[in-house]
Amino acid sequence: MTRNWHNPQRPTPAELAAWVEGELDAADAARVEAWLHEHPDDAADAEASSRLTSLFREYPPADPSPEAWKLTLAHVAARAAVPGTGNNRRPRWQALLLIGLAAAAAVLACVVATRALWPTQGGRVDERIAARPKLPPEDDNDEPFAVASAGEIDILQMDAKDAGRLMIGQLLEPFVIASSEDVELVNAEPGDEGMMPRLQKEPFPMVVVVRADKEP
Amino acid sequence: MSAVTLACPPVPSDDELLGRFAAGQSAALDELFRRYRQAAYRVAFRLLGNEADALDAVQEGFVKALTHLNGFQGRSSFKTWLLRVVSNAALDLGRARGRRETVSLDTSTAADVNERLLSADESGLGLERADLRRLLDQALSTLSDVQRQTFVLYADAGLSYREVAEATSTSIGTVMSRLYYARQKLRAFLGERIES
Repeated sequence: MTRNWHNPQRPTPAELAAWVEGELDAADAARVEAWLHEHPDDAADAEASSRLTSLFREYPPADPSPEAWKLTLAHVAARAAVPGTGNNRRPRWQALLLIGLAAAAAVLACVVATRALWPTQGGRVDERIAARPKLPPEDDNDEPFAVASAGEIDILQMDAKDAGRLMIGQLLEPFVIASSEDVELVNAEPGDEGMMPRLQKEPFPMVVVVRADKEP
Repeated sequence: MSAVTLACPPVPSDDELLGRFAAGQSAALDELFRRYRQAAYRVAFRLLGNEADALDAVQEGFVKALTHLNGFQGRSSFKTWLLRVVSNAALDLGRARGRRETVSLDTSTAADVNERLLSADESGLGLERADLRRLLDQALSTLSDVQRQTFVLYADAGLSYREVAEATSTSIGTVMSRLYYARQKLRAFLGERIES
């Protein structure tokens, strides 16, 4: 609260209230009393504020029942006590260290359990591709292969003509992503927008989807 | 006839009780709770507006104060420290649950209540006190959190300006300013009752 610019000696309303309530230090109290000696009317507003404080003190909230006190104390005693060590608490750093170790152990247990239940293939993608069995060139592999499990797909709407292209099935074994080495470009036709397809020379993983109305 | 003077057992200080509590004496907790439960409850009730939430805040405040005594460090009195923790717990609870005041079944307006309060009817004194308490709580709800906390710590908990400043981690000047603006709002709400 800023002082009155026109009369810096004039106490602020907050100072007047503090003086009425006996909360000013000696120096400030003397200054306010000197002012009020010349301007006694200025105390009226501060005294009204003090009566407001008294009103709240005169009408406090009703106390809870003895049973409510007893129950609250019982909860405090149960939560504030540390079993086995009286009521001494561990130093904060020890508590934090224990929490950190417990969290790390939980994470490690989750990782071990995950690897045990769902073993991964491991290795890089290209190594897995290189290790897969070569298919005979005549094998058109017209069986649909799953790109997602059945539980991951919700078909909301589809045209009948798309039924042959949308492959949904039960994944029986892990599928291997083909690489560009597995694909031989026999013929290329521009797409609807006149763009020619292009295969990069370096082998890289790719998924080839054969259109139902085209020869592979 | 010779007079027998019985010496009263010395009243343990808060520090002594805290030491006994740390050593596992449950009676020390009982005494600390007995000493400060009312002040803590009144602060919490004024901030939250209902008994159930206020008792939850009291419980939370006592637990936090007793389990984090390293934060106390004796820089203020235990009472100031405790009320700081209780009032902050109450404000947190109020933000989480929303301040829920006790709903009055009386459909009277505030003006009607004021008119009843001006009369000196002894038979209606019980209802008068309850109505005025509700009016005061409604007035407090017009304040911001910091204004309400500052005013309640001063008016209901009986802390000095300096102790309120310690409890709210502010200066005495800020306490004075917040009290001033809080009172302005309270007076505006309570209207004629204060002027009389």
